[in-house]
Amino acid sequence: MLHPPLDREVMIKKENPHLTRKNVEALAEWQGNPDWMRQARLKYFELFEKLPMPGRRDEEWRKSDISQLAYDRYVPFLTEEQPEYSIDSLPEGFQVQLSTEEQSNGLCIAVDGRKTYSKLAQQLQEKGVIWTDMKTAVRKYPELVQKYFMTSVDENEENKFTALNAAFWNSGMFLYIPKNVHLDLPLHMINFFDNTQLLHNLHTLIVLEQGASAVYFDEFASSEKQEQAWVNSAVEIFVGDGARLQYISLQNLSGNVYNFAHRRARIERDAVMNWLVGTFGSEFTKSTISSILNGEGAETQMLGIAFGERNRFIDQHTHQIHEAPHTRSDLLFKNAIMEGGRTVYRGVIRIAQHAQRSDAYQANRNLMLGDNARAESIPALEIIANDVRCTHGATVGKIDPEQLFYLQSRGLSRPEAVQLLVRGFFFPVLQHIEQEYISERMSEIIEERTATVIDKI
Amino acid sequence: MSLAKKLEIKNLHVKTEEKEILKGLDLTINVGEIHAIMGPNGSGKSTLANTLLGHPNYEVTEGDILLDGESILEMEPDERAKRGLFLAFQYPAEIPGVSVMNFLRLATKARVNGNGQEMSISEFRKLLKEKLELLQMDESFLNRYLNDGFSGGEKKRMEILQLAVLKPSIAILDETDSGLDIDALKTVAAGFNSLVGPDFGALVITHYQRILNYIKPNFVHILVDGKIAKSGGPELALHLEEHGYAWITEK
Repeated sequence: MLHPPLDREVMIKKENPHLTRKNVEALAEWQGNPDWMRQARLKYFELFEKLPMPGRRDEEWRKSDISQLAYDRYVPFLTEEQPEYSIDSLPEGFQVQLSTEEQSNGLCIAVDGRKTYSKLAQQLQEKGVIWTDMKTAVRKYPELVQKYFMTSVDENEENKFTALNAAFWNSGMFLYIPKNVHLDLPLHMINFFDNTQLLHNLHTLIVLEQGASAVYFDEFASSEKQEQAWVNSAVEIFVGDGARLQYISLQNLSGNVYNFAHRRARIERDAVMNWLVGTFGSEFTKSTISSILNGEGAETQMLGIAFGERNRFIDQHTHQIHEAPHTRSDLLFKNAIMEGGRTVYRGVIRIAQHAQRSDAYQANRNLMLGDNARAESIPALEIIANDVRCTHGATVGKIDPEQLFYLQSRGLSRPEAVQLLVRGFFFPVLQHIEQEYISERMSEIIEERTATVIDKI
Repeated sequence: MSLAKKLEIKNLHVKTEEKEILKGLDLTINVGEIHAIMGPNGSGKSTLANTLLGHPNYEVTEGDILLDGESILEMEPDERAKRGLFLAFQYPAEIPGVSVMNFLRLATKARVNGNGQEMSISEFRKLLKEKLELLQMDESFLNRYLNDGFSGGEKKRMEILQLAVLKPSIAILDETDSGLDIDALKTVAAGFNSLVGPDFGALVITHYQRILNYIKPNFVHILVDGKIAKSGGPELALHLEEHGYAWITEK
């Protein structure tokens, strides 16, 4: 296999004529943003302009080739009339399953960033839970949004694409859960993309006040198209003292989508943040997930499953950032890679000097489902504290013929045996999903994908 | 499809890693018969067991294996299993992420698909409970990953549990006795003996005579250098116990 030349410093030489200061102003005006949001957008537009396009010399981008991104073509908002969708008339190709009231406390569907359906359980509204689109939230709850918007990391840690997102965000959700309010079922968000001209710049803010708890199920899907589509989404999460959030995502985008996802959580004293990120679709995925353990006793579990299909590329970065003493992070990312597929995993563990007695664990496991599949794993440890525990490890393996023979000797056909072994591989992650309709959905996708390569194993 | 009543091995030659291990082995096992095969290390005992179930690393270069008169050489391992063959492995594979319960349910279904009657969940649980008791295994075994982190003795019990639950017509036990203490050996033998009857045949492969104090074979065969060197009744095993293998190899 040919590697792209490494001396290419800038992967995108083209300029995008639509990403202008004028258009930042136009977007703010079109959305009816208050002045502080307009100013915030402009500030990040300046940063966006200042930051160079990432290239292969940047550690974080060393393995990802984005030269095929049709960067110059996308527009930050659409001016012409858009089709009207409703829960009864969803766009062609919409195959995402809706959750029922018994399965979720709330369901929201956005098509191309426009809210098409939304429902939040009445008793939660009465308790002060806010769940609405960002545009509305900026207007209706300005103090809350302003307090948190783009505050999850220092400005100097932003990159070209997070700055782009902040300047030109055009969709996304705002969730606010007041002190000590518990949601017993997930909030189910479905993001569906049809338009291939629009830069899908989602910005989602999730705030849990002290002692609150919730499960957020964020789903991404799109119509099958020839033309490339681009999703550049950001999620900022704030987990207050003693609060607890599980964020589950299921990305099953079509093969024409370039998908950039930036997600980060700030986790305060004794709070728990559990990620479970399922990456199944897209042509190209560049995903960064950060847990910033900011308060003493904070905890995070970071789980990932990904299925690298033929001619697809999945690049996942994780950050376990220990900023306070007695913090714990536990990470397990599992990838299955089909013939001709490629994955990269890069995991940073950083333990600050004052974060003594912290505990960090990181494991990346890769299962090759065919020849000519590639998986790379790069750990990066920055440990300054001296009284900590930190373990990391990565493995690459294939389906073991002895396991196959064992299962077949018990009467399972070869395809059944392979399916069982692949399911077994992912089970240690999927068992952390309490809601059967979510884990079943992921299992079905895994089974479907595995079925297509059984004869190559 | 009914389960096989007769396993015939005819002039079997088997090669693995470019080396011929079995060199013309003949043996017939009918249901209702318990056969023991004894032999020194390297005589080809495990090769025979793996070849009968169709392990891909073992190549049959000559001869045939038949179930009820039909050659099974071209059959996948699962087809052989569905015809009634079972192998209790000497070294069972560990399958992390797959619970014993889930696996047994799938394996039972796979059998049933070939043989008709399906069991309800409650019937299945009842059957499992009964067999676990027989093998003095705790019910918590059902929630563990299959063989994953099991001790040697636990693995052997798990093999016999599967044997008892799946009820094949012809079972091959590959050194099931090795690594078991005397109490575990008695338990495992009791599990095996509960299956013995007119519809069940077995080939018990062992290095030591010890297991034959608890499992009573009708026939004993001695395997030396890839061939049956001598066959006889249970007295042959006792003779071996006393005199070792040397008197046969010297002949």
